[in-house]
Amino acid sequence: MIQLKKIDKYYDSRFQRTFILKGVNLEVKQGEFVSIMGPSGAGKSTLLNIIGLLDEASAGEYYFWDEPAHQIKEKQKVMYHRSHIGFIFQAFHLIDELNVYENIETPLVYRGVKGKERKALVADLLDRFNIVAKKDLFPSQLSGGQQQLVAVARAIIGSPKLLLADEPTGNLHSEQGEMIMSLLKKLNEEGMTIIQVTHNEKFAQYGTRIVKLVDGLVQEDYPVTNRS
Amino acid sequence: MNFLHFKNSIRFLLKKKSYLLINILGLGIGIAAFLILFIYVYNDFTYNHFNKNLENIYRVREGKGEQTKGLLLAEMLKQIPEVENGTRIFDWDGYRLAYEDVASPENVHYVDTGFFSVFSFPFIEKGTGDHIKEKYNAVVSKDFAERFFGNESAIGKKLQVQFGNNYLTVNGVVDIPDNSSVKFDIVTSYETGESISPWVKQVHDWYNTFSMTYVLLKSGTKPESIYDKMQQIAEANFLTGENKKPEMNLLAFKNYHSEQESNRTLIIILGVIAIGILSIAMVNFINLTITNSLGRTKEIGVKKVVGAGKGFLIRQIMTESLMVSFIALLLGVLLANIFLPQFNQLYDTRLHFSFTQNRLLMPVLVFIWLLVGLLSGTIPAVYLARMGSMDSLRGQAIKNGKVGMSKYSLVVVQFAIAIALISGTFLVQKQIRFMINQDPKFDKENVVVAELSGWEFKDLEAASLKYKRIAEDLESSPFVESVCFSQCTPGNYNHNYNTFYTEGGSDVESIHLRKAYVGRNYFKTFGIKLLDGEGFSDETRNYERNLVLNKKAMETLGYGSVGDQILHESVRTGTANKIIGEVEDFAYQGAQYEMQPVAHIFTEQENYTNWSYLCVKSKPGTSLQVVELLKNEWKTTQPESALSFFFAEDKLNEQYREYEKIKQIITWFSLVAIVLSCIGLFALSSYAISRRIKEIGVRKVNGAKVGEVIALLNSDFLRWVAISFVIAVPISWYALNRWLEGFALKTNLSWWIFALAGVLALGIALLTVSWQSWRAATRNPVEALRYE
Repeated sequence: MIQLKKIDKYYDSRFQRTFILKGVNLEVKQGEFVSIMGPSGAGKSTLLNIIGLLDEASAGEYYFWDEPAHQIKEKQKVMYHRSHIGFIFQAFHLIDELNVYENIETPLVYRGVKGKERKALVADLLDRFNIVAKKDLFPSQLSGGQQQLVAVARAIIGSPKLLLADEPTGNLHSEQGEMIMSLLKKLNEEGMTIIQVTHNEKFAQYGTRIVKLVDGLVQEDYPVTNRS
Repeated sequence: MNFLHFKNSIRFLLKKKSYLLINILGLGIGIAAFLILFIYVYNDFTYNHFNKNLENIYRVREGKGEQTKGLLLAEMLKQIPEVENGTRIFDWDGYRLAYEDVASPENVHYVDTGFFSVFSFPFIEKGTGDHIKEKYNAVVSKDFAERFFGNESAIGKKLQVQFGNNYLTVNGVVDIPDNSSVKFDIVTSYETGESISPWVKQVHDWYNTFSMTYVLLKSGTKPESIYDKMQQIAEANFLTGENKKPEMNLLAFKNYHSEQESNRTLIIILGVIAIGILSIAMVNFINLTITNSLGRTKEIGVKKVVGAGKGFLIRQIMTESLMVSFIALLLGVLLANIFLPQFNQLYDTRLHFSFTQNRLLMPVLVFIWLLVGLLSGTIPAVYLARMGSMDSLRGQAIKNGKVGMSKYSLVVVQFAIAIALISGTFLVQKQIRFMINQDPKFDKENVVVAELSGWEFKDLEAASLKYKRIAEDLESSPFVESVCFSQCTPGNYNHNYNTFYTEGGSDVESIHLRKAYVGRNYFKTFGIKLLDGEGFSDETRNYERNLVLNKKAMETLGYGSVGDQILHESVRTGTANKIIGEVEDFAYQGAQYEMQPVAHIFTEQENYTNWSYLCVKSKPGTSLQVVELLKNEWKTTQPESALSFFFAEDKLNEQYREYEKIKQIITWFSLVAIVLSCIGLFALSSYAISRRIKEIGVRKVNGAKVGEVIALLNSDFLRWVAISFVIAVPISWYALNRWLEGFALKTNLSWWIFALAGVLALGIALLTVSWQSWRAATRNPVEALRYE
């Protein structure tokens, strides 16, 4: 599904070139749940952003479903964001001015889904995530775990093929973190490909495979043996 | 546009209520000020446009002379085929008109029957036949009809002329547009006029020039093409001999207002001010909107990530700015409607906010709306839509660092204007107070003046006796010191001048004197100090052809003392007038005018109704009793007419009213300028502070106190206000000096006027920025530094 070949990411300052990623090769198959780990500054988030088409690699090739994603235009990126990729962030990034219902509904609006169908889809998800009672609340009225739950709902409402999570539990305490991780695991079992960035060894165990990144290089890449 | 986005926009806007309010208020005030000036300028530019024949109406002139010989038009119509129609207008006659119990002295215009063909006055009511063709038929204005007949139909109503058996029959009511150069209360035909006032016929000959003449030329006729024929008529009838011949010419009526009545320069200045105010308000609005929308980068980033296209985002931001500017527009229209009546009162205009009367209004409003809405939307929309998703998610739209000089220049200009206007307000106020506090050198407190209205009386003999008796009654009252009749009062002198020739012993051969006709005891009654000779106060003496001059006149003549000098009026051999007294240079006119040489001419009237004023000097502190006394006299002797009176200083102070108007208008504009510059500063400071959030955080972490941070931020802005002050002072000093030159007696342009204006501007600026500085300074530095 995803194929990265010799991906470089660097910034040029006046006298030197600073590498964030250096020659990263990575292949992710459909149905996998990959946890990218590594110390601060290793380039985990940058790698995730490149995969999510939020950032561009400085060099190398990136194939998404065998399409050369390193060559696509801005407009196509929007199309990928609409239909193939969902995001979850550490800071949740809900829209403060919209309530729970409306936040979840937003991606469907951009996809041009009809009102009735949208209603059904959102209602379905609210039900599934047990947040029907909260649908009229605004993000500031929710706890962190609930906000992340809404963010997950928003990310998957368009049934994307790929879900990218940048430290989804980073702003949550452990109980809420576990709740979110079990949810991700469940989604993965239902067939969704997930790539997450995490510092948390325990939460990495929820996935099927761990990629360790150090100083922009892939240091280790191994499957999770006893998945929790 | 989806309803969801609409909700999103509204919630986003409402979240920052203070921004929204300031932004809408600023643009609203700007638009209101612009609209009022725009309506005023438009009204001026469309003067007389209601006349369908405007292109072909011309006013006949003899050289530069505005009035023409009374017989000219008939001759032109006869001899010049290009002249299709025409009318004379004669406005020198007036008398009492009465309908049932309403009566008042009216200025009656006489016109030819072509009047209503040349001009297209819109009729509200039409009678039978041809308006005024039938003798004694008259057409009245809407105001006149309301005054006399209230809500009743005016057609067929008969107005009694004076107290005689002549009646004018109303045969039409017109609604004269406010921007018409030709205005009247009541018009009737020359034929009627000549019957009522036979002298009218006498002054319409080939010698006198009492009437105005308008002609309607055939379409396509060049006015110059008939000048020769006009000249021939003139030469055949009145331009005889070898003396200078005025050239007959035509003034296009469409240019009449701009060339003769209005001050085109002023209109253009007002137009420039209007556009200036509007552009400043718009730039502020755009700046503030941009600054504000930079705070929503995160929201934009999220939307991009979940799949919003560029078009979507741009449309959303555009809709928002169009929405906000529309509300501002509505507010502007509302404010303009509220303040237009006040403006009308100040400027004695009758402007209306009407889309039908002012056809440009709607397009201009739409233009302003689109311009502001699209500009304030486009810049942030394009900017935000283009930004990388990750950058916007991190909220890094605002680069750190200080704001460049060019951004400040606008605020500097705005504050310079505000400071100049504030100092102008102070100076005008100071000058007015200075003039009012001048010693007028007459008794301004104890003299009560009753206005006499002789036109009211049918039996003038009886009325005269009444006035005489009132004067005698008053004189015998213990409260009254002295009584006099007069044709003028201080502050109320006619512009009536003549040349007087001296007989020798004088520095000058002749002197130009302002003439004032007064009765016995005038100087005594007004408490005007006599410097030499006597002042018409001896009851037994006949003062015929005697003069009392003011000091200025005596100085000009160079006479050391009165000494019964003789002055001949008009020509060297003219009537001899004896100077018998000299009075102080008292304030017979406002302090803004140069003191002139004035001659008071003793007058006696056989009939007391010919006097204009009855002046009564009360003993100190009893002026209210005297007013009561006057009221009683009026009630007992002439219950049918109401007493109208004033105190001696009132008329003088009326001359300063014009400056009160100037003060008010400057005050209003200062307010607008202050509000706009504050909004400009607010927009700029919030932008500048948002760029320094990190710096503030770092300073605080390193131990800066809140007060120190506020001082740091404020000093940065106040520096620019100080620069505006430096720019504003010389400009306004020059302008105000020029303004003061127009006054004979002027106050000094004290330094404190500018200091006060500067301090005021500084104070307002401080208030504007302090709130934001305080908010920025009290923020938790952790927030600012979290993502670094």
